[in-house]
Amino acid sequence: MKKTQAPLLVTKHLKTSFKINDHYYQALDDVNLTVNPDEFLAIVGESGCGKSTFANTIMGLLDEHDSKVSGSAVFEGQELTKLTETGYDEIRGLKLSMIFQDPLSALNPLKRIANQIDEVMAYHTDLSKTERYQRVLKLLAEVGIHDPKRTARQFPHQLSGGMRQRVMIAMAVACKPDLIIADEPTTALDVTIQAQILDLLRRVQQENHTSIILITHDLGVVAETADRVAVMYAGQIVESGSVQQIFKEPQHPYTRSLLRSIPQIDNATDDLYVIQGNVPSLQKMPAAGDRFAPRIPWIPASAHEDLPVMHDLGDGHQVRCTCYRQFYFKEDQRA
Amino acid sequence: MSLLTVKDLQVYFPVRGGFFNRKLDEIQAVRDVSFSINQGETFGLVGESGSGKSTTGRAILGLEPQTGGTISYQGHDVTKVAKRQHQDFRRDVQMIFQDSFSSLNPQKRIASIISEPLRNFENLSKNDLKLRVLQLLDIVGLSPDALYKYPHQFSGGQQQRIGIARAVATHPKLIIADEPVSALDLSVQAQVLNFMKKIQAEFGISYLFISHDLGVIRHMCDRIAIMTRGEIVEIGTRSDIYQHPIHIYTKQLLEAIPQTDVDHREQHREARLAMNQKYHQDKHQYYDQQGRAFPLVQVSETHWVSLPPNEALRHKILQREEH
Ligand SMILES: Nc1ncnc2c1ncn2[C@@H]1O[C@H](COP(=O)(O)OP(=O)(O)O)[C@@H](O)[C@H]1O
Ligand SMILES: Nc1ncnc2c1ncn2[C@@H]1O[C@H](COP(=O)(O)OP(=O)(O)O)[C@@H](O)[C@H]1O
Ligand code: SF4
Ligand SMILES: [Mg+2]
Ligand SMILES: [Mg+2]
Repeated sequence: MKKTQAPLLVTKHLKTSFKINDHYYQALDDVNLTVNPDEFLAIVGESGCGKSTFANTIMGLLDEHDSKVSGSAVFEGQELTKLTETGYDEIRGLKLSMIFQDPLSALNPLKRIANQIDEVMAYHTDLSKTERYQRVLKLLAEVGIHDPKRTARQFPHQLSGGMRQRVMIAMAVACKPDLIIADEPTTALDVTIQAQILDLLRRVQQENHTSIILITHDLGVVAETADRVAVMYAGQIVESGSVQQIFKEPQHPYTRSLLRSIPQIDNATDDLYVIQGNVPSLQKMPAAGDRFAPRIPWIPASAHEDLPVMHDLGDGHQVRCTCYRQFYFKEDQRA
Repeated sequence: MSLLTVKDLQVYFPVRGGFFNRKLDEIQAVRDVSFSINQGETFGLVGESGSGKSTTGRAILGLEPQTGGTISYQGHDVTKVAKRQHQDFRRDVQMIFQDSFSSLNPQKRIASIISEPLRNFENLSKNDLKLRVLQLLDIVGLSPDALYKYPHQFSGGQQQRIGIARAVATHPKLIIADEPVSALDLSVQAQVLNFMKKIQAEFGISYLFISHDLGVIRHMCDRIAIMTRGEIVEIGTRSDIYQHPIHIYTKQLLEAIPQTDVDHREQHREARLAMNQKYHQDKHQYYDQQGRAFPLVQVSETHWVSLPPNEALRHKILQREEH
């Protein structure tokens, strides 16, 4: 990795709100994130934490009528929050592409696979029709489809879930974009297929020098793939760092709690750790103070910041709020 | 003692079509599946989607037509569905679904939902009924004000606990739990799994725990069966399966579990790729000419594996030498 290269994507104070009953509620709050060229970044958190909202904000996929975006997101020098729909058409698929959890709803059911992949290239490149078809076959082979000619002729519903996700990846990488956002790409797949798709994403990232933002709720998936990790809770990034830092020296109480609740070999017979309470809904999001604090009530209020900010722990490790310094698990104290 | 024994269970679904809606083909969802579940144990059924896990669970409850095989419960043959419609069986064997919300009547209050099985099977006074429902809410950690709420007023984890409260209402002996935590977040999953263990310890319940998640299965189950394409290819204790897997399908499935050990992820990836290659090279040896798994062979006191005839012989000899 060339450290001198300018970052690919930098978000500053990025906020996204949704309109619910004429009020705007924040689903994304103060997200500051940097993605470097050639980087595999994972965003992890439970459902409702704002992961998809982040992806959709960056991809310009939000409905303007019921959402509001503020702050900034600069991608290759371009301010995305100010970009028009036509502006997005020029970069989506070419420089920036997305892979969804459910390829069936993202693919056009009435179009053959070849035509769907062809469309992206026809729009963005001046390759001839024959050249594009050759590239479709090459892409399908690269994503591990055994009979590319046959699959090229087929319709989405004729393919298995794993095959469809491979097709989505072929489409996403067709124009060798600089950044791919994959939102829970393997959540609907079996473990063996999941492992293959993750290997494929990793390979694409290394061979094409594409950066990837992998969004997932699965910590195992993160540990197996990411270089860097951002942990999200209730619309905020609460901790970010290298995959080693996050898994071996987690600091934020949320990160530490999540890691403790995974069923693992060493706790096969014990009770699993349970995080009290729930992720707050948008309407119930606390306006000030720490958002995770209600779920660790044994930590005194004085440990938390009123308006928590990110603290730098060195070597790229950041954690929101100062409560991590005083955090302990309630069970551990009893022992 | 074995509580439930399933022997050579088959469930074939006809594929119909054409002008007369004739049977054109069949899907053999469950092919000669045998296992037994002991009193108080959690028996895991794990495999990839479409392997026939749900169909097996549903067939036990008589919710799918059974093509062949026998089922016995507490030593009595209950293969005839009529026998399973009998009060005792219906009270003793309950089910928890992946998505409790869709199995809870949205128009009914929680009090009515949880008391339904009690009203069906027990003759309680109104007061006793309410007491029992309150007890059940307490067991699954919901407060009494839940009584008069509707299902949609609860979170996913709470709905799942309501599903559990209803399933345990009649003090069942066996609960068939079909992917009970697959739709839940990690922290809520932990909560539901802890509950399931707690009520098991309290009431001596047995579980048939169906899941595709090998981490959850390892955490919950005493014994485990690995299922693929309608057949069981390996049965053993937790340590038989996770520490000493023998069937090639089991091995590659275990290799595919994502691990949080970041220091060894390259080694893990290499091991997985090597396993994959071996799987594709050797898997045909583990199935007969028709693509069926070979019969299960006992390789230790607790461990059965589907093995080709020559391997089976080798294991038999090895086992005999051990004794
Ligand atoms: N279009 C929308 N209108 C209103 N609320 C929304 C909309 N999209 C998402 N939300 C809410 O925003 C929060 C974050 O959702 P989401 O980004 O989908 O989370 P995640 O992907 O982490 O599960 C949730 O509370 C969700 O209900
Ligand atoms: N009612 C049905 N009619 C026809 N096929 C079915 C039916 N139910 C299940 N199947 C088929 O049986 C096989 C096993 O399904 P299932 O038991 O749901 O698997 P699992 O629970 O392991 O994912 C699948 O091929 C499925 O499509
Ligand atoms: S220390 Fe800060 S981030 Fe951590 S729980 Fe408290 S308020 Fe939240
Ligand atoms: Mg999402
Ligand atoms: Mg199923």
